[in-house]
Amino acid sequence: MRRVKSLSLITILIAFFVMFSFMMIEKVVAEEPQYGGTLHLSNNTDWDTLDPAYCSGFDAGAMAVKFYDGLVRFDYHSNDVVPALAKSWDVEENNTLFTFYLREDVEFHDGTEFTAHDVKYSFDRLYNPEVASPGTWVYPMIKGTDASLNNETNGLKGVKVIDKYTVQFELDKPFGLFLTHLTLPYGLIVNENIVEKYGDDFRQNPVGTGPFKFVSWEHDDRLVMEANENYWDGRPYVDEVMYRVIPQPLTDIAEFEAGNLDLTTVPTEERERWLGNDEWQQYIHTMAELSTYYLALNGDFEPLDDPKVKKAIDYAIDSQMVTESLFSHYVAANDAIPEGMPGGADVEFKADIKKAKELLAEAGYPDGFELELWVSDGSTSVRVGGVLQALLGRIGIKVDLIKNDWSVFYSTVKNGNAPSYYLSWWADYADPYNFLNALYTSDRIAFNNETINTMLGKMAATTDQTERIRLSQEIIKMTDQIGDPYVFLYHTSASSIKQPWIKGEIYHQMYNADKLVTWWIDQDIKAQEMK
Amino acid sequence: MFQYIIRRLLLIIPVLLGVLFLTFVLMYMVPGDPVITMLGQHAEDDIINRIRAELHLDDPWHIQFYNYLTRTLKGDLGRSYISGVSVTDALKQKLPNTFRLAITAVIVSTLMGVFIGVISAVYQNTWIDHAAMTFALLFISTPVFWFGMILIYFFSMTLGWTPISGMGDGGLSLAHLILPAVTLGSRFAAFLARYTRSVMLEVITQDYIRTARSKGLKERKVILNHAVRNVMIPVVTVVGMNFASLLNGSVLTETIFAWPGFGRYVVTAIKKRDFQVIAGCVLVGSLIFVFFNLIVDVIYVGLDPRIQYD
Repeated sequence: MRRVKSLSLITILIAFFVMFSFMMIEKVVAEEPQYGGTLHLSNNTDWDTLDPAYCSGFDAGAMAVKFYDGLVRFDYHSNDVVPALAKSWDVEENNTLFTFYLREDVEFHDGTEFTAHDVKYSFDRLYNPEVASPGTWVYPMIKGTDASLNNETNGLKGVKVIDKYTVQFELDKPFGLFLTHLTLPYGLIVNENIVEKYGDDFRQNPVGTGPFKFVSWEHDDRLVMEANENYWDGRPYVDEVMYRVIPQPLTDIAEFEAGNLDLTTVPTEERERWLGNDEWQQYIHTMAELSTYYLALNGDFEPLDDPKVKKAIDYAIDSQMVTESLFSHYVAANDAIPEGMPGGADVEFKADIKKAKELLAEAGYPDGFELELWVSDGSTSVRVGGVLQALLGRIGIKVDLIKNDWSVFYSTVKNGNAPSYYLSWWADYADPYNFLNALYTSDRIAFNNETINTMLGKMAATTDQTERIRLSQEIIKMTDQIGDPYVFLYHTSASSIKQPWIKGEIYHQMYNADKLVTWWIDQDIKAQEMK
Repeated sequence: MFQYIIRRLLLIIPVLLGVLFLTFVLMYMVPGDPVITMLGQHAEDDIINRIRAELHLDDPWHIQFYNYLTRTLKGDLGRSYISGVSVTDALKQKLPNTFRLAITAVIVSTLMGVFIGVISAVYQNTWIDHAAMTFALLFISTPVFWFGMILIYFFSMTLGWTPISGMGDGGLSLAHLILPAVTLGSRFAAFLARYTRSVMLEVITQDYIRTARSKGLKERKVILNHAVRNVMIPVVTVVGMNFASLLNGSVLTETIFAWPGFGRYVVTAIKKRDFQVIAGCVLVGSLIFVFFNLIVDVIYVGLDPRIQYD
């Protein structure tokens, strides 16, 4: 009897296992990527340009990578650097000599063959003074950039064509992040004949080696691209992508709700509605963004040159409270490094009014002082400025909030004329060096510390990630001790929402990582849902 | 009349030269820098100086003005500093879109505004008048932004009658046009209703209206043939002036409905200090204003034979 019972149990288990296996197989089969269809996406502004040499903004850079490839790119699944047009490379002579071996099966969209000359031309062009590219800050370590910009040479001495499919970069000094810098849109490869053919209109007629071919662009309205059937890395799953320019987030989400967009960002005003919706929750993906928002204190203005005053301000501003009260879905910042990125030092959160007042009294300002705080006229900036004004008011600092449009605001900040200002830094790439170098070597605040500069130099030179993280943590702790010119407030995140029929690897932390080649449309689900 | 039109057309030249000069001086004085705006936080001094030199932004202002003037007189409005797109090409694309929107808005709002204004005046101090003027007040006070979103919610999202935004896949799509046109024209319709009512109330107390009535004409004929016609002169002035304003001031409507028009183009340029685009837009905007003034003056003659231009 017991044996029969055991057998029945085994039979049931086997049956269950078989059924489960079938279900899994069915699921796996259903998840097989499908080719075809049009992807409908949106952007809140028109793209300034599609010429890699002028891609100074995130929007333009994110779009340019759909049409062009670089020697390397960000991985679709992580922030690692992986091969693209270069299939492999050698690094020699202490990170100063990079030899790239190029793919031999690549064509530009017009059928022109891709060779090492295109790589040389693209970098020469970037440093051609007549081109006036805003991207010359990216590769100053390549030999001969200054000479080229000063019209002393024709082209870069440090970029050499070895043969048709080999190109060599020689650097002035070791730069451990050179490969990472090559992922930036300025490093995308263009072809000389195509650039010359289009002339001034090349900015709006992208012809690259990328996964998508340009079809049309009605400025401020729509941009259409089609799959590059001959893409060297395999054609994208979707046939066509149509981007619409929709400046108003509420209109954008309405278009999504009507099924006219396949993916969009949930606007702040609509967060509760969408994130609280059980039906949609599974299609919402919240991702930490590589950003840091801060209050900067310019030491050129008294009494902000006094480390005690800086510390007092740091103690007076409770970043956790600011974040919780204004943006409950963001992460409060205790240092410059965004959540989830290595290099942060876990400095303690400071929120102690009593200590802030003591420090201010020790600095000789027991009754506080008057301080100009510059913000741009965006609603978020004004709100944050108001909160900072109230918090500093508690220790007697009378904040004069000065609002201006971005151009005036940033020109003032840039020229070092703002005593304090509220601003942010967004990662060009996921490395602490990108944040710390931008913040602590800036000419916008009077901060120049020899030790920190040396450590930043070491960070730039090394390829050892562990060493770079150690240096990053050391710099953060040190600035905290000597009186940080920045009060870090919060790191942002964004929630994207997709239609049920959109599948694949669609979320990328780096703005320029997504080439749309991993997206696909489940036509069955789409047909069912649209019914 | 012909001579008058020629004279007015010739007067456009000094007006536009003045506009060009004023725009240029103002842009030169306004704080902010297109290169810093373009470069964002990677704006380092040497890069800024190099790009400013390439764009000739570091030339003395009188040389910049001279270059701009000579180029403009040749019909070349230059290229955007930011995008490199020819301003003339961009205007060719965006102006027709805004014209389309503004014309529809003016037609809808004029028909509604004049009708409601006349009815209000004819039925002065009745419930019809009170209701019409309450609605007019409501529409004048309603922010365009909110009104547009409400229209989208009802007509696009709830009823599904109209598309939410955009211009469609090319060509003239009335379905895409109607909501933005109503949004753009709503405040003007309300203003016109109030304005027409006040003019109409003044007209119907005039002697010639009393005479018409005493001659035994039907009230309908008195209102339509005698009163409304005289109301139309000031109304046409207001409509003419407002059409040009709608062309230049449609930015909110264009933003809500993702309409690729002139308003959004110029406001984006102002934010980015894209001087070439701003100057081109101000020039074309002024030209539109001047032409509409002329057209309104010509229409007067048709409406009131007593008006003669020598």
